[in-house]
Amino acid sequence: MSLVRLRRNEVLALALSTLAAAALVSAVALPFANSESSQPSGRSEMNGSLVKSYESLQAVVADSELIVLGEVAATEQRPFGHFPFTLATIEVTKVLKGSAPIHLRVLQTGGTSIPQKDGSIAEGEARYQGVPVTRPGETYLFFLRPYEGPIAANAFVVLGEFQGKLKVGKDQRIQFTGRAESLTTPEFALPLWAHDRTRAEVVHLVGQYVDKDKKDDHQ
Amino acid sequence: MPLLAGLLTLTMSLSALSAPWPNYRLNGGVGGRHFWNDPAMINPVYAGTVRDAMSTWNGVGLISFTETFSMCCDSQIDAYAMAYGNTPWYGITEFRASNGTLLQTSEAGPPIANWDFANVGLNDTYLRDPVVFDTAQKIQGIAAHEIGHALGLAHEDDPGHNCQLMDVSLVASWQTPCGTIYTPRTWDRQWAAQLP
Repeated sequence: MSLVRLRRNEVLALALSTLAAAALVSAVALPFANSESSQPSGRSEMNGSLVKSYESLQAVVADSELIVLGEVAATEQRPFGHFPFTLATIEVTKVLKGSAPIHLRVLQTGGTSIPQKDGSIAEGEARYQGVPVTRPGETYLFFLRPYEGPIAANAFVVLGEFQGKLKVGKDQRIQFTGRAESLTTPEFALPLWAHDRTRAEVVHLVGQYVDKDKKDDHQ
Repeated sequence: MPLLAGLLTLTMSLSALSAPWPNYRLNGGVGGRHFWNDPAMINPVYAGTVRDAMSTWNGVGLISFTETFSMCCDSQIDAYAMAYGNTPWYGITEFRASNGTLLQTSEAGPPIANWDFANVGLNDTYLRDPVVFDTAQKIQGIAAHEIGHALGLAHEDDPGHNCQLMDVSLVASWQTPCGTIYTPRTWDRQWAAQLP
């Protein structure tokens, strides 16, 4: 068995190969499916080649230059070229790694202003891998690195696009915001792992990994 | 009942791991269609890259795309290349409906409806990096991967099907014994042959 195959098997954990996993999926998937009906009707879907795909919390912590908890204060549409982007202003409530101002800006692929062939902009909603961009009032745990490019200045991007933003629900548990079908693919291993865990638990684990990385760096 | 529905969801999901997206397709099919290169690409070399990438899919099953130079409306794959900055992706594909309308909401897997055309974006910010993309084949690999999406192929996540062009981590796979993958491989071709 190759290393690649072994890794992928571990990621999937083949929880999906057991009836117990099916029961788990049934418990978590249906609410997602039901929630879809409340979305706007004009939607577009995006997919792509990720620079790096994060399948574990430890991996995304290690690569993050900045990890924060924060509430989305505002969003601004930044269509660029022929693709939609959204710039969110985040009010930081807790910094878990790196240093951040009270407010920072996060650039995400997708949004509601969709460039058309003729150069006009249509309203709708474009999601990367089915995961919506952040909306005002929502709270997220963000895994970030600085953005360098023409779409926004003084901004950050999310590691793994949809993988490095974990939404915190009002019950202080992590919520998955994409489609139920996505949860069984390795790309969504991290959101699946995080789903329904408490914010406190995930934040604690992030802190442990940050501390471990610091120790490793010193050795 | 929730358990039964969950099992159904699971079955549908697993079936989508390693095949064309099961529920939706390119309207009009993949035969006798057109692709278009944006003449404003940041580097005209990318137009040739897209042509080469498209040629690796042509002839697989019903796939037959020729280049059109008409700016509007008769292409099913539109290719763009810009410096988007260090976004989390090398390339991107977006599924669109014609006439400015967007795809309609659906509860089934990606894409969310049949599509009339797809936009493929190549991120020059990364692709011009001579360290990671030290050969033209690697850039072609990104273009061919995105074209695979545009045709109707999902990421390949099946652990039994490594080293495919549609691998979720194509660039990472280049660091493994897979080597540089820039053309459709066995499973890619098998799935592409199923595209209507």
